[in-house]
Amino acid sequence: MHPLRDNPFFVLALPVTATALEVERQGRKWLAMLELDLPSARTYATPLGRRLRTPDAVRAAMRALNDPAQRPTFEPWAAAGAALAVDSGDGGNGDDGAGDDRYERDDAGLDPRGMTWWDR
Amino acid sequence: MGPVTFVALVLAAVIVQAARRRPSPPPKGARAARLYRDPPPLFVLTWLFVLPPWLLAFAGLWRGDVDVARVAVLVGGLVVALPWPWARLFAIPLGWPRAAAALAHLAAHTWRADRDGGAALAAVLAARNSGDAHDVARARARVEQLDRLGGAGVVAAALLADHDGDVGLSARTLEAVACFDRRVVPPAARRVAVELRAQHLLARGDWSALRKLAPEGSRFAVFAARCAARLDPAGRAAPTDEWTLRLRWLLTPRRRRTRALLTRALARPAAPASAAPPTPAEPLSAPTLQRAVALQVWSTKAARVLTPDHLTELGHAWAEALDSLEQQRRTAGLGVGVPVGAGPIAGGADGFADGVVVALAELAALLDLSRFSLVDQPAVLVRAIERERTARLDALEIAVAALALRLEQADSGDLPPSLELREWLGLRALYDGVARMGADGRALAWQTAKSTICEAAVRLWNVRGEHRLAHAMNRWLLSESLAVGDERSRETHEFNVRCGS
Repeated sequence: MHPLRDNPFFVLALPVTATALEVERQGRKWLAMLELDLPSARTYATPLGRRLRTPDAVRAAMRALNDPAQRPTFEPWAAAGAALAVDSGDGGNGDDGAGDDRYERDDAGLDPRGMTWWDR
Repeated sequence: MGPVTFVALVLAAVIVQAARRRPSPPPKGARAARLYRDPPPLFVLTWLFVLPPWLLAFAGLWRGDVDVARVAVLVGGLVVALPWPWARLFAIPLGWPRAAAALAHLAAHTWRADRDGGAALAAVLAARNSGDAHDVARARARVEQLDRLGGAGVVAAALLADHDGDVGLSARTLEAVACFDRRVVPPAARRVAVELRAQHLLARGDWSALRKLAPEGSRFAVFAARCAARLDPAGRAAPTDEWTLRLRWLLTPRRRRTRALLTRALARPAAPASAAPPTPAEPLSAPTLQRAVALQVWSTKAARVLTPDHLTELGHAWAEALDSLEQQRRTAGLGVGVPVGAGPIAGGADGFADGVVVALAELAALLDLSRFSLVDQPAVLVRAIERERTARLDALEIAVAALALRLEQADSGDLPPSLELREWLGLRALYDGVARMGADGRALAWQTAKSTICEAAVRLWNVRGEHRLAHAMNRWLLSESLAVGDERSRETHEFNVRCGS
């Protein structure tokens, strides 16, 4: 689990001071919203850009934050990266999970499809 | 122009075309002669058989005697005599894989020593355009059933990987084309390969690599390279001027689709892009943990321009942050100044350091560290690089062991040539991954993989008669033995390469 990209605090959009009860409530809320396929639940902000939020990621985050051994390993990252996550929003080269391109395009690239005689 | 003049012109064109065929270089041995022999001059033979009835039909139509038989002979003759242009103009763009494969199979002049591969390549190109999953499956089966895998078959495999969305495998497969003897890579296959490579680089915006691409006679590749020379900050020394670029664009097929590239190149950025990653917003006096996380974030975002020096700087930032964390933990343990539960950095230091190693290892994996010395590096960075290298070495050892087991199983373990190629490419990717990790990475990878890959190449050559693929593998083994400086292996691989040259 990457400490910034997959940080459970970012996945659940919780501050590092969140209690076990808040973790449970927030996790259930995201699962319900994902079940309804609400657009606002599909992604979450990290310092590296927006990431796709899935039910599996939410469940893993809930497990990690309820584990006394795992939770402290993510807290420093979340505390230090929280401001950056808010600031950077969905910018940079982060994965936003959008688009269905077969190419891993970034801002500098172009869609090359159809540029050659053999590619319609 | 009368019919006689027309006939004379057609004959002259045929003779000139036949005379322009460059003879293949003389083979050095009997086995090599079988390997690289061009097909009989079918092009000329076809014309000799097709031309007389075609001319009679043409003359009849010229006189005004229009009937179905004459028109059929006229059109059929053109299809039989010039099959590849028909495949290019109709069968491939319209997405007719069977017709494209049949026409390509007739085109001995185009595909030379790799007609089956050419037919498979044409089928894959047409299947990609048809959008029908059954067509793609049939084209895939055709590629997998290829015997005597040559350059066109390899390019077909790369196109299939690209169609599946596996751009990494596609790029690796295209790299393998360079290991094949040029005599078994027809020029038409080389052109498709370079155009597919250009597409990959365009999608990534890798102007530097695109600028250096050898065009292999592809007009699209020439145009893309010229555009890249304007877009690449390092290529500004001799950029193509605006009008030459416009002319190049006019000469390139698919002008409507390539207009976006032209527009981008003409509006070249005013200032060269910086090669350094962006400076963290946090000042140096910021708390060490905050600074390290900020550096980590910016390094990850600037991964494309990251250098080993940047990684070292990040490693030092993390070393400071971890020291600071350790001091705070001790203070908290003594109960001096820091209240219990004072926040996130009061506990979990070991697990936190593991997270740092994961984050650093991810960045290290993106870099070529083959000339990077681990001496005097921060301990956390050394741990990250060693972690990444161990994981890669484990993966290479498992893959090598699996290949060795398959070789032990002899006939029952044999795969179709295209899958043998894929396995070799997979091993190469793992090998390169280890070679990029630390100064001794290449030697480590070489010692792990050389014997088994050599054994696989020998089996392909001696037992299965897949000389072209085996020769490509031997060429790669030779280049690696030279890079590592393994004299004993070099002699063996030089001998093996000579067998197929």
